[in-house]
Amino acid sequence: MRKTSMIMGMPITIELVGATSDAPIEVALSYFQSVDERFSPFKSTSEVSALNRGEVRATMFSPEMREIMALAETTKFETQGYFDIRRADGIIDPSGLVKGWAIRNAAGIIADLGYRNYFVEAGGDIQCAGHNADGEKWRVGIRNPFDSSQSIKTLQPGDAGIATSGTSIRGKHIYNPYNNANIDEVVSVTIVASDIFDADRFATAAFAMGRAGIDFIEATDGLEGYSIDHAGIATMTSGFEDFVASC
Amino acid sequence: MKKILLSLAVIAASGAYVLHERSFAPDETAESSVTIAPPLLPTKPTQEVVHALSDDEAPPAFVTTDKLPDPVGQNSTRDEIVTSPASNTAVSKRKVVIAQPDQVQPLKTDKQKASSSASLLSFASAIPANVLQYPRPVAVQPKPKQIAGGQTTYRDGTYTGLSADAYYGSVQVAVVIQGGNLVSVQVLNYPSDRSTSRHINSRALPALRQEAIQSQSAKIDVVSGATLTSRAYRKSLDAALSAARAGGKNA
Repeated sequence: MRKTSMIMGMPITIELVGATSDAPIEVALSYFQSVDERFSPFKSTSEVSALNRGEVRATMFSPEMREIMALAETTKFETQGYFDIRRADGIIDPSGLVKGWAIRNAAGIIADLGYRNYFVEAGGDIQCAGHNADGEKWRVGIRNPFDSSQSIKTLQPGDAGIATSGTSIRGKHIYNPYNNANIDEVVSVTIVASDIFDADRFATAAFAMGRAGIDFIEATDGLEGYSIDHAGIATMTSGFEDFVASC
Repeated sequence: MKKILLSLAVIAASGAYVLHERSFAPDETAESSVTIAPPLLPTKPTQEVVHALSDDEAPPAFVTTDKLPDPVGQNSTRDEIVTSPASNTAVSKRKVVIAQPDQVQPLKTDKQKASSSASLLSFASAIPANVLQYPRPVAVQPKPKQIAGGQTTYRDGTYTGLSADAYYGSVQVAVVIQGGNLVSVQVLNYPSDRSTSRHINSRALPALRQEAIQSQSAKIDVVSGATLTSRAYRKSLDAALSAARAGGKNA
């Protein structure tokens, strides 16, 4: 049973193998809705918006906000400062962290309901558990950054979180043909980790690091990555091939 | 004896006189009579050093940046245009990295540019941390390159454009203009970051495998891909290019 819903400004898809009704999926989707109510930077009634208006003191934080703030501190340290929820203009914007965190929690809700074979996907970030309806480990594609209708890799990472950070924008005038050699932009970084929260935040950080990002992932235990540059050349960490589907 | 005593008295009196002179005026405090510069302490303990040029790079005449480095840590890494003042052409381009003592050797690619941190030197022990709190000298902005025919003129330099348009997270890109052309786009802020420190693990890394991406036709259950940054990226890029056209520093 698979269902997709637009929440938090993105399509969220949940598939539960063996579910006979969409009720458990609805439970998980309503969780995403509650996360949006609290953390949306675009809802004036959200806790995040109130925080940025100066209406909320740290002592008044909800447990979820407190948790996100603590995770933000840890993440900033672990990504060597590349992932910082505090923007240049002083606004606190935890939404990059909230996405992976919410997926992880939603997967936890589904597991608590007794399901063992499912995936939860929000905006291209996925937490997988168990196997698909054909009895195989979930088959996860990596989107072609140059053509969103295609995939350029097929993974079967098992129980894992997969996140991709990048941009799919291409404009001819950006790439001066005479200076192409100077543009070494990374367009997409995909990270596989045991937990989607980790995969998501490290994908974000690795993308921000540019070419050095894949080295950072290689040097970090528990993460494997696949980084694609503007010329369509991919660089992968040494353990990444273990996740590639054999057929 | 009397003479000696007299001399001593004179000396003592002189001393008293001197002491009197040095006594503080009624409206002065003890501190204000003496001026000693306070010790120059860094605002936070730091091992930040400025990345040295690698061997194949010429020392720059000037460094042009869009803003001075912030001791608190904003913009600690930028692509910078190094411009010779006479010709307004780029002499070399280097990446200035506020680095920690240990640095990783990054992947060596075919396109090895000067700005990739190919050979990183550790100066941490040589330069005291407090010296590095001073901003680096910034050159005068070079004159815009004149292009006949009403074409778009981009001023050389580095320009950033902020966009808060991505639904989840803001995006900021920096564009580097060299010789009037857009030569590089760097994503600074994804979703948001102002790095205060950079430290990359110093473990020696194996050479990482590379391949050309290929379309797959295998059965797939779900696809992982970047989502909503495209529009925000484009907005940020347009903003940065507008800044480059206008000659302003930031959009």
